[in-house]
Amino acid sequence: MTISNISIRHRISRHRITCLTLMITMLIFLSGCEKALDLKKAPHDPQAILRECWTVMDQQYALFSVKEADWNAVYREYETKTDKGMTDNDLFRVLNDMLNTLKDGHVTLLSATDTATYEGFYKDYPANFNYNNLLTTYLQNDYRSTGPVIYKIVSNIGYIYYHSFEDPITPGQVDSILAQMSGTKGLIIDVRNNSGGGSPNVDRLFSRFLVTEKLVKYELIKKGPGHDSFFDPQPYSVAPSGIPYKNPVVVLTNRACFSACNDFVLYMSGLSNVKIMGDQTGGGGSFPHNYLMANGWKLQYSATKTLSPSGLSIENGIQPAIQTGISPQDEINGRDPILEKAFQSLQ
Amino acid sequence: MRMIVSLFVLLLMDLSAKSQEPPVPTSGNWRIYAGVTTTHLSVIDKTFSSIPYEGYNIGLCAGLKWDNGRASHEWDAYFSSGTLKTNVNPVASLTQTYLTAGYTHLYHIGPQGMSNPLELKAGGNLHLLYASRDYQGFLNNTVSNEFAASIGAALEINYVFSGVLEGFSLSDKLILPVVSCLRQPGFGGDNAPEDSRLVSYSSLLQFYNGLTLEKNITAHQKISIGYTWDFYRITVVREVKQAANRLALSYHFNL
Repeated sequence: MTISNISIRHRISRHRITCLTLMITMLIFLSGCEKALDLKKAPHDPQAILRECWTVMDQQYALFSVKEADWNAVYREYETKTDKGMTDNDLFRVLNDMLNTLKDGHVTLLSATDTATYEGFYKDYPANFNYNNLLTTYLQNDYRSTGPVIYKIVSNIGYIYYHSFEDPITPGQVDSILAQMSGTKGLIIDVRNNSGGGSPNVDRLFSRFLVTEKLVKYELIKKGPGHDSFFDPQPYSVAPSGIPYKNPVVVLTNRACFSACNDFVLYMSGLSNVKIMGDQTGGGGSFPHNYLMANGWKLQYSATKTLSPSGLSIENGIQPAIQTGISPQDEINGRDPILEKAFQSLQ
Repeated sequence: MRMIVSLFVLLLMDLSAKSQEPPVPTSGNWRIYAGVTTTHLSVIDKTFSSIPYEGYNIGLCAGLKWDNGRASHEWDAYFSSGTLKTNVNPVASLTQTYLTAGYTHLYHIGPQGMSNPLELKAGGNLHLLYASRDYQGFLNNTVSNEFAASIGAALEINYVFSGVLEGFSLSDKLILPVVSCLRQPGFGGDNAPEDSRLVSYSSLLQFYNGLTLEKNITAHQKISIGYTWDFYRITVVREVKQAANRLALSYHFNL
């Protein structure tokens, strides 16, 4: 073996060692990194799930100042109610009870088999609405329907019932309904038991009562995880569309009027030709967002704060201009004094 | 997949060392390449969930490289799109689009030439990334995205085989972005004002390592199989972590 051959073999051996070392280092680094950088599914147990739920709410829920809840105290109370051996059903109940301390109808917990939300904003109050009485006593089962709306004209007064803003109404449908109402001397818009839904549907209906663009609310969006960390209030306006209805309008409300329905009542209450009648609305002025928890349950929470044009929170509902209700006896007798009073006010 | 590629590479390295003849380096000034990719993505966006959404996306990669023996310049791009899901909730899914583009300028370090099959290069990199996610089954707040333009360091090691594996070469390219301009949606949701800021690696940690095995077909053409581990973690405004394990099959042409 010559000296040059020895030199070449030595050089190749050195190269081999260098390359192998580099490659092995890279591969070890690569294979270990994802775990070290916490990309694997987070382990979870009941206490960790409760902590996660509480933390998401603590950082992303927008209404602590409105609800006046001591969220730290809530955690201390409910942490003691969890233990490693508890069942999913028991954990679900504990989380639901914790979330119910906020008394927010937009806060919901969903598992594969269960859904829980706070309903005290209307269940703790008189219903002030009976759909069956409406259809039989007042509409006498003779009415028209277009999209999600039923309507009728009685003694030159129009009546519209929109049962849920979840069901879309098209501009064409609004045009058709209001075209038929154009000759009436007054209009009743009944949104009792309307639990909300899509904001576009609210805007589509409301815009038909406007002559000029109108500021209807301010939205406060969270800027950071602090309870009071918000961007500057963002104004929200609605522009008019179509031929506006300018005659007197009465909007009927009850406690089950919530979320987007609450927005509709807020918008309409700002118009000079509109009166709100019935019971206070259920509130719910925020946009809900979702979060998927480590165990697959979905959390829904209020992520924004809504203020009226005058800067007041509408989270806890809007008071009617004329407070009136339906007694249990009225309901048994098939009567709806709220509707009757609205009708009389427009005569 | 990663371990199989690793073992294959180690075997090739071992075989290469048994060669008795000095390696013959390949060269070419301009090179263009394009390929198809399959990427396993795992992403956590803590605005939406603490658990990863995972899945395989198909994509494309392309690039242009120039090397004059003293320095090399490379422009590269990658795109993929697809659906990612979680293990804990079969209904939960998101649609992800992921793009990267970069420019790497490297200087040859150490001895070069036919007697030295091992090449070391070091230099800098400009890296762009854009990822957008559209979450299905979420209310109101459904979209998240991030864009970053980063500058950082780059290192490349190349080894040219000879003997039995004549025509093969192996390279590893490591990119470490250091300073970035980062743009994300605001904390509070889709309607929150966007946030733009200059951040260092502590707020936007990024790491790209690509291992590529090339084979000469003709004097002007090559094919390659490459594995890239691509990771980033954002810890400002919205906390996001993403890891991508990418396998690319590419065709190269020396101009």
